[in-house]
Amino acid sequence: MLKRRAWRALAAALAVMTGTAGAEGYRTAADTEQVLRRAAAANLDTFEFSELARDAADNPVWLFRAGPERPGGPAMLVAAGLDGRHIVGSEIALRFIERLADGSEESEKLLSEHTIYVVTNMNPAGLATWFDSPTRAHSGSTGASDSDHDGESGEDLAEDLDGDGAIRMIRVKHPRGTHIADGKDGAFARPADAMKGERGEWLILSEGRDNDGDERWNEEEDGAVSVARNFPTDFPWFEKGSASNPADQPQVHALIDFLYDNPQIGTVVVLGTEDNLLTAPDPEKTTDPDVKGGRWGRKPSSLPNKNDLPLLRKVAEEYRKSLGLKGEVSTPGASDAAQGGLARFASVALGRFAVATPVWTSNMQLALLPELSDEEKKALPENGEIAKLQRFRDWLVERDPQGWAAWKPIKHPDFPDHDAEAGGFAPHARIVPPPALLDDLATTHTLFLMETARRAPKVAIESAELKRLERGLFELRLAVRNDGFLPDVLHQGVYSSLVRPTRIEIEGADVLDGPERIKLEPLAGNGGRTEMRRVVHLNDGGKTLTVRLVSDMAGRDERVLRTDDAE
Amino acid sequence: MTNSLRCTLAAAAILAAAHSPAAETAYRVPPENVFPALGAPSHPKVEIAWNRYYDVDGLNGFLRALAAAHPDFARVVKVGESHQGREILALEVTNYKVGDPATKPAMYIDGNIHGNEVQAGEVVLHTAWYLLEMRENVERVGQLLDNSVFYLLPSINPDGRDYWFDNPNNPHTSRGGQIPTDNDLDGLVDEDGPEDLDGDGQITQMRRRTPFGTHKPDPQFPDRLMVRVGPDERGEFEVLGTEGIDNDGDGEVNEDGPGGYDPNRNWAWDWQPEGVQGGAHRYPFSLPETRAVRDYVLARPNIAAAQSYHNAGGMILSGPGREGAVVHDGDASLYKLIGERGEQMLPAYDYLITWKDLYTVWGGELEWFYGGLGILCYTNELWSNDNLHRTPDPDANARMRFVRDVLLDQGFTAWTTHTHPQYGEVEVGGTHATFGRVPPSFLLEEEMHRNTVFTLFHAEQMPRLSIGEVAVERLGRGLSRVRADIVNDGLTPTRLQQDVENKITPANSATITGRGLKVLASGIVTDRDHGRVDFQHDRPERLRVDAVPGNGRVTVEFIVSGDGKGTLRFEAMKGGLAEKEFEVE
Repeated sequence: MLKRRAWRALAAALAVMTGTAGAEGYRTAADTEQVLRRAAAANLDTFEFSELARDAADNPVWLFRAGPERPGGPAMLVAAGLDGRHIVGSEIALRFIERLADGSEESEKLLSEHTIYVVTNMNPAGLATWFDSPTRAHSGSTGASDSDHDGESGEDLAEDLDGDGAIRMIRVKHPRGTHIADGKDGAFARPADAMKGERGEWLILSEGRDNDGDERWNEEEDGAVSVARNFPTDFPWFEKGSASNPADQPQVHALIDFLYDNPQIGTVVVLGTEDNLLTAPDPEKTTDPDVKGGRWGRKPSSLPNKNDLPLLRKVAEEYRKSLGLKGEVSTPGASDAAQGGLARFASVALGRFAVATPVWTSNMQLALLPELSDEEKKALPENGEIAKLQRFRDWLVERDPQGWAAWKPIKHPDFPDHDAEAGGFAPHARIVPPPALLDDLATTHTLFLMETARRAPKVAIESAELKRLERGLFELRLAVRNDGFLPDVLHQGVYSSLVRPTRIEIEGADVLDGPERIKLEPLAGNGGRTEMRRVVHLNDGGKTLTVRLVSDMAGRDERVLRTDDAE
Repeated sequence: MTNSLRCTLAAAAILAAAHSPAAETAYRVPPENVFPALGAPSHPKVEIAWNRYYDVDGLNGFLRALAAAHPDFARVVKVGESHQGREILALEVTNYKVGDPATKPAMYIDGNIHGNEVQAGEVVLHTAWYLLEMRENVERVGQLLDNSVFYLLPSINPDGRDYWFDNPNNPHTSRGGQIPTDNDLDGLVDEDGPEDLDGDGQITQMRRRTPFGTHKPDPQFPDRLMVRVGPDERGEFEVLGTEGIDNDGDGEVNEDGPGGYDPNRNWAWDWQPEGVQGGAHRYPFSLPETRAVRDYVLARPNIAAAQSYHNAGGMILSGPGREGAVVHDGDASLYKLIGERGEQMLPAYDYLITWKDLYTVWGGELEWFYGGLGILCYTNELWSNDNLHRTPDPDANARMRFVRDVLLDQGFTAWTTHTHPQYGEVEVGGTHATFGRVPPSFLLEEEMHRNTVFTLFHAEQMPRLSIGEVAVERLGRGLSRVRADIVNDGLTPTRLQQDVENKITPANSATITGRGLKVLASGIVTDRDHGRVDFQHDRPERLRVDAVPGNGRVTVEFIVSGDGKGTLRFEAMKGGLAEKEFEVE
């Protein structure tokens, strides 16, 4: 056994070493595939590498399983790479797999009790554009589309006018200007405030030409379908990037089918643009639906279930603590991302425990920076938003010189008679960290993911015994307990009408005072228990009966009871 | 249809095909001995008996026969396959010799999304048959086929349809498809469906005699019906529900039968998951049948009108399906106008708004057509029991009188005693699956014709575009003004307000082509009297027009340089194409 473990650890370490050749930065699809294949090959009995689906452009979307198939759970899904810009989520998911494959005692113990599924690249076409030049903010899949619904596709994309390899911003001095420069060196812009006597000076545009002459710039840039917002709950109909219908992207409906077909997955973690960890849902904005009533007349709500929210808030608090954050951090765009997002769907529709984090944002980074002295604060611009941008920019340029480009004059073909400048942040600068941060982020996040897996519900038969009655009848006394952090079925799980209750099945005897298949009420986490008694009559000639505890996502247990042992 | 009856009919068909003596005795009336009645052809190329129902093979066989008999007017297209592998077919009907079908406004019509609502399939088949067989007899039908296309799908739930015909059922069972489903969340699928305890081929009712019953014999029909007793009485029976046993020992009867989801809650618009909408299935278009229909519809952007057929109740339903959902004012007026015209054509039918007058529907097909695609769509709930005696709201006694007096007791199984494994001695009996929601044979054809012509009226209101006189005015310096009305004679605008507001389809467009002409500016005339024009600032060569209103016009104007012959062309994805030549002299 020791020998086998040692070999596996060596094989896993080799696989990881080979795969991390480019791990100083972000890895391409080819690198990722290599890591996944080697990790699976080195741990054939524990890991599995497969293809979840192919996207609309026929790129593979991989599914990695760590831990054996475990029909009764517990199991967790980590999904990343839904938004093409969010390569950091994909990279962290990959490093999590590497951690699970490292052969360490901690990983082996985790996988002996839990199964973890990881999808690193839900949007392979979008993620691939991250490596393109010029770098552009491309959240959706690829392919020309008519996002402005004018009957023509891809007729106005962005151009790298200053040739610096990134699509940034343009500002043009123009009578129709709406913004004024602010901050150190006038590097930032904000809307002019007419009440303060300010007059707009700059037009702020994204970098490129108005190719179709409609006085809108780059309106078909990033026009392809948003995979990250293709899930059915609160689907953003008719918004830019929305598919024509929810769940119409092949990998999206494949993932939903996968979740239905694998009810043992009780927890879903999304590393992406959704967030309920850096900013946990407001306890004042919840829903408390009647789970006892029928479904007739129910009205939808995408607010968190009031009764489950404390669990989520506790996990969020622990997450922030692990990152060194003292409080909540706002995540711009997270509420939009939740519309049609995976975490919201998994929670609201499927009743699973779903958490989501962007892993890193400029706001999070700012919250981690040391407190400024009063003097330093005074030196910042008066406008709070500009002050934050400036401080982040100053932090960024020391770590990623491409992250910010100073404004430089250019000749803009659409404004030949006006001063124009190109510059600003790189397209991903505020949601994808410089590679130097990846090691620390991977460490904190893999620990968090492992801890989240361990929070799964875990039900077991606490005690089971037979008490002899008259005339060959017995009383079956049974106690069941949940030792996990999460309940075996969330309140939203009950409301979803999709999560099966934990069940008791009795074999080898007739139950005289009720049905033979008994559905249990939900068992709260951390010791929630239930007891029951049933009068049973053993089948002809039988000396034993079997009691099975069957849960979809909280494990399974079984006891064989002998009549000879009955009191 | 029971299996034994089906076998008998199949055997009869084989005998007929073999020219047996039985077949030779069949009489086929010579054409000269037939006098046409209004509303039907006297010599159809494809004879279809409209006093019976057909299974999926039957319906599809007729579609193929119609296409073979009318090759220039009908083509069979495979839409997809059901879960169990049955074909979903469409018959595409138009005059293929006139115009390009892809540029004609189209009407989509389907039926039988609920497997048990079988007459919907016959109504769609009848629509195909009527269009093809009457096109030479009725001028308006011929015009419809010249100007528009019909996409006709008699059954988009073929598994549910055949299950209803082939197995014991009641009027309400086999509503969904046949994908095994765990309805009671016990980890087993389809493990506790109903049983035909009395072997009559039907799922009827169970009751048990008891001195503490809730029901007693009905005074008028003591052997057939029961009535609830008052609080000061004790009845003779307790009602136990539909025929069946507790197969899985969970203390419930018939709680997890075959299938167990609702295909008409699986459409994308306002879809809600199982917790809110029972039967929603996994996600929008997660069913092979609805997904196939979605793909078929999305591949035909010329669809400008839609209709789905259900049963029962005598309703012409429009959206929205839920409180608070938007149907824009202009679209709502059109819904009402066509719906109320339908009420006149369909006695005993009421025009209703789904959520307000019926119930809330999340993820319905009708709502997807309007909300997601911007297409006016109705759902007709076929057949009303008002037709039994031509009196409104017949009660149970009136319905039973119809069974006794008009059907001569056909459609009712008398109560008989059986031993039930859980309930002990029970009585089983009641009306059959074919009574209550589907018309009896002799009332079926009227139902089909009236609904067919309702949809043809809707089809006639699809956009019908033409270009009025093209006025050319010389402006000097080689410039000319070209102005024309784009006229829509249909009541439906070329894009509904829902479409325009959400940019579901691209704007309509007006273009001018001509070797010697160059477009310098273009716009929409907003005030003809004072010459006000809303000019388009970019790409004048392709003038974007939101929509041409129903029964209205839009006046377009172009400033061109040069001279010579030109063509003004107007294109509307859902409204068709209009062209007119002119000359700048």
